[in-house]
Amino acid sequence: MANCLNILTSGFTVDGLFQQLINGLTLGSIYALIALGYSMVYGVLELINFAHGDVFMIGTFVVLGVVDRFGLTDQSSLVVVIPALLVAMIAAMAVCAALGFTIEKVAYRPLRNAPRLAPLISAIGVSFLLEAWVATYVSADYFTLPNLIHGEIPILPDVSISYVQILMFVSSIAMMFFLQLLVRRTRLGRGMRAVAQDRDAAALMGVNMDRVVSFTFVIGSALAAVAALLWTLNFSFNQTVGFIAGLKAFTAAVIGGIGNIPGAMLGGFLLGLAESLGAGYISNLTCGIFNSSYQNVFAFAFLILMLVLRPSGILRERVSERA
Amino acid sequence: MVRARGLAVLASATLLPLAFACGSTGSGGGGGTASTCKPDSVAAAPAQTAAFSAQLASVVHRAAQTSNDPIIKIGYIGILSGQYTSYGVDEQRGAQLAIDAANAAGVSYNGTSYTLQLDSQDDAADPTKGAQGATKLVDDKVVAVIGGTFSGATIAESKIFSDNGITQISPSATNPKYTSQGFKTAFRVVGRDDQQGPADADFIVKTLGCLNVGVMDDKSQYGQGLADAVNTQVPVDKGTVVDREHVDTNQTDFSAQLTAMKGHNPDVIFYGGYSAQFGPIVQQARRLGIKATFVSGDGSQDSDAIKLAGSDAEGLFASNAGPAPSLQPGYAAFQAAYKAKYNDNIFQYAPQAFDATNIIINAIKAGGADKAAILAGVAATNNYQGVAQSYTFTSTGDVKESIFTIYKVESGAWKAVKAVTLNVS
Amino acid sequence: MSFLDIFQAVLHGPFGDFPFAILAWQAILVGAIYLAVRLLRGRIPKTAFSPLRPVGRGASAALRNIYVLVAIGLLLPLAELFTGGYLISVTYSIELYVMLAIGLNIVVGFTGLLDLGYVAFFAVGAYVFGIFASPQLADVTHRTLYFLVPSGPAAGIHISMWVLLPVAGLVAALFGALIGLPTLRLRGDYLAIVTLGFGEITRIFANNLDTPVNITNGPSGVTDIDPIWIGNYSFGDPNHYLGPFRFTPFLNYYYLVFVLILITVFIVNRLANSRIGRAWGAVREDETAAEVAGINTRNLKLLAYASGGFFGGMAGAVFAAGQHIIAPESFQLFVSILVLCMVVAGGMGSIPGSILGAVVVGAVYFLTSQFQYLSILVFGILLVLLIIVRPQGILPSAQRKLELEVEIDEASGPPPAGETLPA
Repeated sequence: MANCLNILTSGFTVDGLFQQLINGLTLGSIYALIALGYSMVYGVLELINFAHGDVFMIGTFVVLGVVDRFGLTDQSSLVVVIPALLVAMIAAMAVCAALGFTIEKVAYRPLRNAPRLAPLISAIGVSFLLEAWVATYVSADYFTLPNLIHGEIPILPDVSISYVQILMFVSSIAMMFFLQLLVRRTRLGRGMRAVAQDRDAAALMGVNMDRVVSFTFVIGSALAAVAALLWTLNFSFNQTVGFIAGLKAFTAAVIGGIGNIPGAMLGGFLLGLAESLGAGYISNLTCGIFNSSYQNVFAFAFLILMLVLRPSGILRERVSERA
Repeated sequence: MVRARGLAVLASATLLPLAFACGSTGSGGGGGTASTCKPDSVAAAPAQTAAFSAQLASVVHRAAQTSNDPIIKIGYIGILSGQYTSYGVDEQRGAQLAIDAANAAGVSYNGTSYTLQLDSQDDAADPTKGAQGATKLVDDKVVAVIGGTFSGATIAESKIFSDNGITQISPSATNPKYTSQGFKTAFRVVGRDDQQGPADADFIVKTLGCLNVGVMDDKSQYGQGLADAVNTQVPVDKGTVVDREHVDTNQTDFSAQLTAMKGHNPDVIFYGGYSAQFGPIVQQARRLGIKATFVSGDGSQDSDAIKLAGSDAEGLFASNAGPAPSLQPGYAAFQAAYKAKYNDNIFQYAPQAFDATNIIINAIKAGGADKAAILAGVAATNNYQGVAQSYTFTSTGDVKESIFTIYKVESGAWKAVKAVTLNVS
Repeated sequence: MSFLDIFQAVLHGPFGDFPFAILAWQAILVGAIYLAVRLLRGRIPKTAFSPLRPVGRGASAALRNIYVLVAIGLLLPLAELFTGGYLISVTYSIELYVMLAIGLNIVVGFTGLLDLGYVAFFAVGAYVFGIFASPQLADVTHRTLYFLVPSGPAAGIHISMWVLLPVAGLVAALFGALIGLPTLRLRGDYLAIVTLGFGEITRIFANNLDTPVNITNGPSGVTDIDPIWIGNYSFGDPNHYLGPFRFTPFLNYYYLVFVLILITVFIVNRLANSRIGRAWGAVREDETAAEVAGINTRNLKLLAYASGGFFGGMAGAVFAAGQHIIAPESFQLFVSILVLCMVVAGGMGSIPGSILGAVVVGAVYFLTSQFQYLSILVFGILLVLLIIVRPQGILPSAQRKLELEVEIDEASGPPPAGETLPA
């Protein structure tokens, strides 16, 4: 018992707590960006796009390719790095958008009116396809980018936020506002909201279902590409990174309320925090019985809890009733 | 699961003439006194070149001979697909070079001349696949096998080979379980994790003088086994394990575990796992402001770790089973032959695979293509001088002289800094 | 140059190794195939593609005769003995998947619950068998029950197969019901994710339950698992002979699983044709209507999970005995998805379909395993094509075929004149 009390507070510092919070928020911002794609697609089609995480993964490899092409190292000055990263972002967005569009057209559109199981299985097939393709024709190895953006801002004596982390956080918030703008001010955005509310009525009002769905996929995939760029700046990746990241992003979307854009953001941040704090402090809190390798379990546990207690998510989902 | 159970290990830490200056008599003092932890003072040894017969070099230049000699098949099973392919392919190449060299020089027994052939199967580090591959090798009537690469699949395959009387020598399986199952046919030419772990722990505490150690592992069979061994040995050496963290083999974001580790202020962090995680862990740790020295095991002592860690790779330590290349008598010649044939650098255990294959070939030359004779011949191996080291097998199939080498990354490459020889009685 | 090498070379294309170049070549290939299909569509008579009739209904005489099928199942491995042990080991692995597919079919096919975590039942069954038929719990039991359980090499709990196999199945069934409880009110897609989560959670727990009490031995897994014994005959002993041929352990286990499959098919068939089976069908079609009609959907769903779990657990137990070691890495998500592919490809809701799907998909997977990622690539493509072109699978049950074809055709207009729906 005394041992348990020792374990409870061992290694705990306020600095550490702050750092975990920052870690959680930055990780969460990437989940949020990916979750936006899931959320939008589900709102419009009521389909979990399993392949979305793998579109994100392709984005990471495109970024890798561009950075490689530019020959960036961690000595490269910002003058070279910033334009290179911009090029990488545009390239990744283009590739991912095209990929998302194609996937929707080929694998989901024929199954628009099929029972729910069918597009889900199709999505799994596409996910397999993408991962295996990258593993076969690009590489099955892990990759990291060199340290391209250096520097940090100290907050507390032992805690600092790196510029990369600030970039992640700011980008995702910015993307969310941009997306809200898109959804509220453009015609296609209005169409999205209409379809999400009531598919048949929207069709009756002259909304072009095909166009709206394609638009949704394109935007969602482009956002995933931005997330991919941010991911590569800080973490490693290989062809399996999309799957787990996608799963967690979907969990984030559900937590916040599927179909709901601010909800996806909120869910992302919450999940990131839960993971960071959970993995960081679980062994303290459970007397060492559970260890930090249970990290993924938290995400799923969070999901299951949400679905049991509050299935519509924190900010309430926005999905139409299927007739 | 990794304990030196019932085994009399005479840890004669044979310090070969290496230049290292480290004023490390560990003071038992706590904070406040000057730390004895001086990882930067350990530097790489100057390379030693040793003479070795040029038999390998001749392999490259000998033209391929076609012959009608009867064929003897030697099997290879290992990781030939998936993310760890580099390990398996490397060993396969080592085995192939040995066979090529033997065929060039001629293999004969009792007046009959034979041609050797390598039959390769992939186990992708999966026990089920390994069992199927092993069955295929049995069907193909191989007389002996080199393999597997990682311990999990090797253990699954060992039963099948034992059932069929086929000698199996693994060039890299370090899990103690492999040879403690009681199979007469299971051998290995490297040391074990329950030896490597203590060697690493001794290095950290005694040589580097760093008493506050954080231990991390990837919850894989190999990684956890090695980390457990270090975890046990550090307190024995009067050090302290300040924190134990675990990650998952699919994980790419380690900030939570690293931040938790940071709170405990370790001087050294030992990571049990593979380079695919070790590199990114080091990179992310430096970004979080962790200044601790990183040490890892043979799963990370390869070029992937340096590639993934990028600019943070300088000053990393990792151990490897087997002597340092500069201390392997035949390394230079072997490397030249390897490079000439495959246009690639040796990844890790190719020399061990080469030696293991030669042990089998010698048994064939002494006893013919009979599986029982080969088994007897291999078991009786006594002081066979290979490329890497000299081999004698114990009754359990382990190698009597386990050599581990600790490497450090200097100027973007791994350089040997210390050798540890364990003589198993 | 084997067929597989040629296939791989064709996919790789002549433009070198740069990924975009390969992508461009593959796009050209796809375009060419598409054009070819469009061109040929009108020229090949429709009867060339007429669907395989379900067994028992105008099917070919040979397939209809279940005794013939059983005979093939019994004699095939003996025939394979001539070619050595490799094909037998592959057949055995496929056979385990057949059992898994039949089990998953209950959940996905009969009841319409998309379960992506089926590997959890397999794992639970395997671990139950492994823990109680090996030295695993030796430390724990010796300390607590020292008067009953010896120490030393034979330590540990070694329960006989006759008890342990059904117990493994029952534990897995219980586990299934437990997993099912929180998912009862979930929509189809959410259910998929949650079950996937449970599958992963099971694996993570198996990987971590070595502290504080060593139950599963963590990543090293449970080793030294007893083989299955019937009387004095050990299934793991490699030295049994039938005439000049050696009965490898895989062959022994093959026949054991064959018997289990016969029992499974019998039970599942009876279930499917009972009130329970019909109630499952009602839940699958329209849960609200079923509820309104007085069916206890909650219990039925739990029963579906439990039944699926039972058969998956028994398969897991035999798997553990056959492989004599088990480790968490054998129970990855990929297994769940592979079994799902088998059920979908074979025909959801149809027992012969599941068997056929498992055999076909399993054969492709295991025989092409040297090209690991390439085979998964092909699976992905096939899965997408299959679900678009023929969602009812290769060998659908008459009912499902009707329902899936009609739903999809609804979107594209009324059936062409002259084609009547099967009675």
